[in-house]
Amino acid sequence: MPKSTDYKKEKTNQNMSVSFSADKLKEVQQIIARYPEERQKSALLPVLHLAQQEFGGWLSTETMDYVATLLQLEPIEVYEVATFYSMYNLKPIGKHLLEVCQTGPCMLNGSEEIVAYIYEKLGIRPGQTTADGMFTLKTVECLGACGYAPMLQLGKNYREHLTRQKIDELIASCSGQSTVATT
Amino acid sequence: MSSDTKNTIPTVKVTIDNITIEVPAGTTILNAARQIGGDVTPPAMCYYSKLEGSGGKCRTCLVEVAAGSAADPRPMPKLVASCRTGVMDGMVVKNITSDKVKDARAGVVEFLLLNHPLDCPVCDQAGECHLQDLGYEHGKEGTRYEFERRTFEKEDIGPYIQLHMTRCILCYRCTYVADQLTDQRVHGVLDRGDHAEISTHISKAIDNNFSGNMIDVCPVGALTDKTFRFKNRVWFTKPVLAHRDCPDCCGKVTLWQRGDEVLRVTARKDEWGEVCSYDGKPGWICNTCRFDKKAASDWVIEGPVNVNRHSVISQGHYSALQTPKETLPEVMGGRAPKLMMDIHDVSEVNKIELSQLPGAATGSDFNSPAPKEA
Amino acid sequence: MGRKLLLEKANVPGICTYEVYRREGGYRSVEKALKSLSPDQVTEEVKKSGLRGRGGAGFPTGMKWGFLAKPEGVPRYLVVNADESEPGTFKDRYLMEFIPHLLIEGMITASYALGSNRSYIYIRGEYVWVAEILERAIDEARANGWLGKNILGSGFDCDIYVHRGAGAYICGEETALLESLEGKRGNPRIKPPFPAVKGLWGCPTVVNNVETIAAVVPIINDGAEEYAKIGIGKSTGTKLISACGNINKPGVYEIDMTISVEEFIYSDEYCGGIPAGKKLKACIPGGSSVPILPANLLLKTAKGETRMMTYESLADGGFVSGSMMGSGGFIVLDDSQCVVRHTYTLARFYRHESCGQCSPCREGTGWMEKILWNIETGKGKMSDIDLLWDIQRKIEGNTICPLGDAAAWPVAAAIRHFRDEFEWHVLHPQEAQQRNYGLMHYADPIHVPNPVMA
Repeated sequence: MPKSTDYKKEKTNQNMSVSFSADKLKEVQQIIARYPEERQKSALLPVLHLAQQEFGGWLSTETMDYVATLLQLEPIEVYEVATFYSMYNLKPIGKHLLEVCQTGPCMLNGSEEIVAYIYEKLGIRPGQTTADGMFTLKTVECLGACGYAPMLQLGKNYREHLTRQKIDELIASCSGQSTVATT
Repeated sequence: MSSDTKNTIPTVKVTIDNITIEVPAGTTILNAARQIGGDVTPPAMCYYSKLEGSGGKCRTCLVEVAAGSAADPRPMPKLVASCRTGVMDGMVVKNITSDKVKDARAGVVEFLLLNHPLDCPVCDQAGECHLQDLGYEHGKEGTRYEFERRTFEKEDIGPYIQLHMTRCILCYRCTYVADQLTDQRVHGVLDRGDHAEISTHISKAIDNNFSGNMIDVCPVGALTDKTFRFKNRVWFTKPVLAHRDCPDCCGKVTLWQRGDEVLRVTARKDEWGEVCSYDGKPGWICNTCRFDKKAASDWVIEGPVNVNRHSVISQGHYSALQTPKETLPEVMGGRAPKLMMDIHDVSEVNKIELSQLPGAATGSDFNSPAPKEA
Repeated sequence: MGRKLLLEKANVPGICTYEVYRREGGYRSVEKALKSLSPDQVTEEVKKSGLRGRGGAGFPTGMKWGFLAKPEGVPRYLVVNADESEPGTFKDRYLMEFIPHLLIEGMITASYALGSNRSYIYIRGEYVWVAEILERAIDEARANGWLGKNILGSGFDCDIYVHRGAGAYICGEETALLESLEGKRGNPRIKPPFPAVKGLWGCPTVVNNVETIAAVVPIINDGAEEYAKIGIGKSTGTKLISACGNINKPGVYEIDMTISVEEFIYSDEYCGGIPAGKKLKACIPGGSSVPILPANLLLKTAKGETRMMTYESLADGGFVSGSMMGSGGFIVLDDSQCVVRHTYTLARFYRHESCGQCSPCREGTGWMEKILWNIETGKGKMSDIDLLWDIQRKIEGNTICPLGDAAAWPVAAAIRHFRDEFEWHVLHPQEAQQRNYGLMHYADPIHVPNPVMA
């Protein structure tokens, strides 16, 4: 399995200033307050989640350096953590990220057909993004919804008991929300 | 730690491979075994006594604890990492006397070599590589791995240190050096699982006066000295002990010379491959000593390094010398050598004393009968 | 109809809100504990109840609490492990999603017993909405005086925080979880020291599974003796089983550990049998890490006894002919499923989730995955099967944390019980790529020899 190190080539968020709004900075302070004094490093995971959400759905080196400054950490401490956890995207992703679970129980219930059907619909394989930047497909390991298989995660939510019809609906509703016209 | 307990550390008795010794309580099994020395000492690829928090990761030092302690003589259910397990009074440990250990260790060696490029012929570490030694002593012949080996994108980490991630066994020692010896760590372990790698993420130069010690602690050829790169094979160089008055470090080093030329400077290493200690402090050296003082005149030379005769570096250093007077057990701290095969048992030819032959031995020397004992 | 202790009220409309939960008798255990019991008495009750950790290992909870070091002036912590990531397991999510207050209630009581003034819920990062539900429930509890300073006038202060992970199965291992909670990579720590002595930020810490902490509520409410009466032998109380795979009614079931595996699979109250008229082929009864069992060994032990849904009965026969209760992730495979393919997905999972810290797991999991892929796609050799066996043997027991074992056991059990299926893949490479292999003799009754009369 080849290693994907493409993210190293993407270093900055283009046209986006990496700095939280006053509201978000307040939220960062609230997160830090959950932990005892001097333990602000514990806030790293939640603050990275927040940063990813705010700065384009992925973590650029710039974003990570910013988080390091906020929490008074060495940048490498942030890189180490960000690259360890699978939920942090280290390269830009499409507007909608489809994360299809492919582990045992989902496989038993046909997750492979779902991945194949998404390819049929959108022409993307796992790890790829559609040309219009709307969808990124990712296969992930067990998301803890084995009883509702096959399933995928879209943003905050789980879409469960997937069928071809449900994928159709899902793609239609995502495309409808966008301002970009899709043919 | 309070200082008042310093003088009153009780000692405990531990038996390792049927040899019993007494060590201060709190000593790890590995360090107790190092006090015995010889084959009884488990190999250690990630543990480094001078780096706090190191160890436990490579699993080469696994040993069997046949009895936990005198108070609770039950065996431990699993093999334990001897570098991170403290001894208890009456503990019985089996290292090379345990088939389980030998089997597990051969497995670990195979795992460590699985994705290793085996590029020893072009690797600067060859000849002083702990992975080579480990593979030779504890591994099995051949590999059962039939897949493409893992590779990494090359990363430049500055003018002094060459990073070869493909050779790395992820011992984490260099990260501890950065944490404990330098004021800022810019490299670390990124990604996870079989993709984990040592990297700065942003190709940043590792620039700190003590960063060169990462080269000395690296057990393999993942971090090598750029100023020595491809200059020579270590076994063609002559290591000598030298010192200088250095304002930053202990200034006690090993110079690796060829003729009068200083090809490389390293810290002095002890028999476990770790830097020597002076007055209880590890003898780390600074980058000025290591990279900038490359003239013999920069140094006061003390004399040749006592090279272990098992090391390939000793090759060429014993030519035209008389047979050493010490018997092998004396050199090996009182323990008989481990013989793969006693060559005297299988070959008449080996009765010939090679050092007595003028010039290089030829086929005809071996065809003539063995010289009679005088 | 088995007795329910945790999910009894799960279907009451609005139970996830404080009002309804309280009206239904919620937070009684906190009142009882804080007003009439000392912390040690609470621990004693949990000990007496026989409650065993519901996260997978089944370690007695009361004993774990008893190990907690209590040095003067050092804070102690309770951390709830909600990093539910074991394939096949989704019970904690159900509990937190539907009755979040049950977890909060259990946590307050447990925090009181352990002396933790700051307790954390470490929830897997993907459960974004569950974390929000919990945070809402915590706010409600705080607003109603169940959290904060001097709770119920007892002088006990406690607050609970939710900490979201970010996608790493390894963080379900308690020391990796603590590392992650400290904002680091989820590398498991080398033990000893155990968390009970040196845990979160170097302080004594207890890490318990969600279901374990929830079970403290009925234990305190009804008393340890009542709780211990439910179940058989050392398997006391009720257990949540998350059933999935090829069954008619996947979902989370609370069982009182008195029913048989057969009843669990086929009765309409639980899994409701195998869909589409297919037959039961195999089952992993306790989450992907535990050994897979063929149908015949699943329903009956090697001694010919009926296998029950208890810790002891599922483990009967050891790894030779038994399995484990594990985390209660019950994965059922019907006769059209391929064990090799299924094992491959699990091997891929463990390779993906290995932290990479120690060599046997880092290197061995990827190697097993590659070999399994070869076998599955008709490129395998007979010797590969033995090689797989040898690799798993060299990983098992030789790693820092149990992930090595968890990766090794599924492969070992698949080869042990389904070796002919692996061999079929090697011998029929073309066919193996076109269809799943379904031998049905796995459901044949097993021959139990009569004991020899003396």
